[in-house]
Amino acid sequence: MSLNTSSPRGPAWCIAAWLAGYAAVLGGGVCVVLAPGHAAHADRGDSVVVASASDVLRPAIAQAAVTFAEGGILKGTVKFTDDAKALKPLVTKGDASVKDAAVCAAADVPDESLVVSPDNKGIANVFIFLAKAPVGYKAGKPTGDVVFDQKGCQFLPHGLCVQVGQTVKVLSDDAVPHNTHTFPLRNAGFNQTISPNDRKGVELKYAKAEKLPIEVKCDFHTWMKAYHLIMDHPFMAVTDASGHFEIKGLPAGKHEFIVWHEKKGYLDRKYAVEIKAGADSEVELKYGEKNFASFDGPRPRSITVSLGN
Amino acid sequence: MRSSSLHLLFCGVVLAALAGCGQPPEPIFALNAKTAALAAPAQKIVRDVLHENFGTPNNLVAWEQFPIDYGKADPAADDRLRHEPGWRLIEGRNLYMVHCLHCHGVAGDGAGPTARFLNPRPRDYRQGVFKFKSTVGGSKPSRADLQRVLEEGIPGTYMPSFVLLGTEKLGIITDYVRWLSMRGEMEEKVAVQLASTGAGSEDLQRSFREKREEDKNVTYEDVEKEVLAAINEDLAANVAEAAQDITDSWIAAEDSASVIIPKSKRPEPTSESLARGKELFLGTRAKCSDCHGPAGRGDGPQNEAFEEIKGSTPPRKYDHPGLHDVWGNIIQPRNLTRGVYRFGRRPVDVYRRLHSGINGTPMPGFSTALKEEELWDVVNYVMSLPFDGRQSAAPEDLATHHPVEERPQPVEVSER
Repeated sequence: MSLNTSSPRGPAWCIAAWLAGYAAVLGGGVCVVLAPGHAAHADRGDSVVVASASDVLRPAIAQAAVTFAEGGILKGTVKFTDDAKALKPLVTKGDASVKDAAVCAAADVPDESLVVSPDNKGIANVFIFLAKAPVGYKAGKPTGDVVFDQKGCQFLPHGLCVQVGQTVKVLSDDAVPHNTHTFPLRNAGFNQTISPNDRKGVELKYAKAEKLPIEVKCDFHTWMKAYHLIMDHPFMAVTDASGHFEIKGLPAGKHEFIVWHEKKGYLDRKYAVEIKAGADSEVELKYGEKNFASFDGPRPRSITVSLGN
Repeated sequence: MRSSSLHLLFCGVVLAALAGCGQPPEPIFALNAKTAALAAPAQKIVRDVLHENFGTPNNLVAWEQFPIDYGKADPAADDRLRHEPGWRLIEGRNLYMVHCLHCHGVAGDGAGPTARFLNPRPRDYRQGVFKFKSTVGGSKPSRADLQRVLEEGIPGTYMPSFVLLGTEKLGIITDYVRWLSMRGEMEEKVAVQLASTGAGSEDLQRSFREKREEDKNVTYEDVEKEVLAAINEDLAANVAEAAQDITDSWIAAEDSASVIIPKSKRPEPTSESLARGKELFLGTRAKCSDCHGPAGRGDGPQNEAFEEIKGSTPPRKYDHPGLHDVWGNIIQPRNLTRGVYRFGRRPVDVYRRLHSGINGTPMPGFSTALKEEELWDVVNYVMSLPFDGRQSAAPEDLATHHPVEERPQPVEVSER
């Protein structure tokens, strides 16, 4: 260990082979290397890049030959193949022990961790989206605001798709204050109080696309939770109460969608769909209890090793 | 006989002393928990990215893209260190190792040797989340904010003032801390990215078991190879994107527009202002008392709620009640009757806490729910709480006879 730079301990050359052109520093056992900017600055012609940027930035989908105007529509339903168990509500109607009972316990607050429609077994709140916009897609200005409301101490909707730069109007229809607390990975966090019965709304904007839906919570009422999916393109959807979704304007060709649900995370990392120009494509995605299963107890102390052959 | 045994004793002492004089172990930047949960080959990818771009504590690498002043070469300087570029980073490291490391750890992970004895815990910089700052919303702190913490310490915690080191040295330490934070964020972002690609060691084993059920011939290595291929496909772009995000956020914090500056001056803490503040504190619009308690002692009912562990899939709850910060520590809402304010006791400091909340904690910003005058009323009320006994006797006296600047200093009293 050498913390004292004023007492040289013999020459210690630090040469990084990948840093041609940048002088390594000879000194008393310490060395600072100025690394050039990373792959983001392709114009600098540096050799530091781990992989060629042109390769990695190309979305892993087939080239789309048609224009986006004559794109196809993807319609689908996400269905549960097993018998869904009824979940206990998070807050029971009339429970006086609940915080702000007059507002929050005015009606049941349902557990939305896995909502299955009793009619057609459709799964609600499943996000279906493209990880990256198809080649050739030019992001226009997103039109219209999206509304994120709160009623009866529940976020409405539970799953929300937002485009980068689009305004989210955070409203409240409750007589108690809520706070909207986001937990993004790329955007700056947002944690602001929303006044009781604020129908004008507080504006929330996201500057960057996220990789996966992010959690939104209220710290006043710990059970309140929702998910926002922020993308820099409109090719995303969240299923409604009967498991239906629709994505418009997809260019013809093969697309790989991410299918994500809060209970499990990824249901599918690459769900491939072939889109024909100017036509509707209907798909049905099926997931059972097995797909949603996960270990919900204390974390195991040991890990399972490879089973081998 | 006596002299020979003394001689032996002397030899023993010398030998023991020499044994302790070996090279101390080389300091390392420890991996964070998210990296440690990845499978071994994915861990190596994270380590390589960090090593390439940040180096080791003894061989620092300065990434030019980041908004840090690494120090230009100054051949005329007396100090030999300053003859080479990057000297500020080296000096920052040296100062950090002497003054900060024993609490904040080599990697800025808040896990130095002293840390386990401290409550509140020293800050873990690696998430890039800082509580005490003058900037809006969830943004990063400015250089000046961090330097102010070094200059003044944090009252009510173990963080002392380092003002005697002088402004220049504190500036150098500030930049090193920012560098550590950027390094930590980089690790976190890359590790999260790899985990979401399925490289967590548990995920990998699970997907191996699932694939094996379908096809007996699948080996663990096959599954691992597939995941690693998917990671490497996007790695360079992801690293560049993460670095750009980090750079953008720290640059934005230096923008003067991101500093919270109230438009109006603080109104005098008249009894009307205090009454309005009290109504907001206890009432249904701001509900400060939910966490801070009706008397402002930090004992509100929200401390009894069971919180969900953030980012847990499937969602799990903590097995004990209480409010938690993003570092997973249980935290108490501030006891406002003690008159100890962590990031300064100027009214504008309290105003800023109310305006934008406290990052990393459940404390939300109230600028969206309250008007500026109302925020000031709450500030006035909160700052009157340490003097509650006098105030309830004669609030008018307090307001009229002691303008806020001349009020007696708050006295530290034991709780309850």
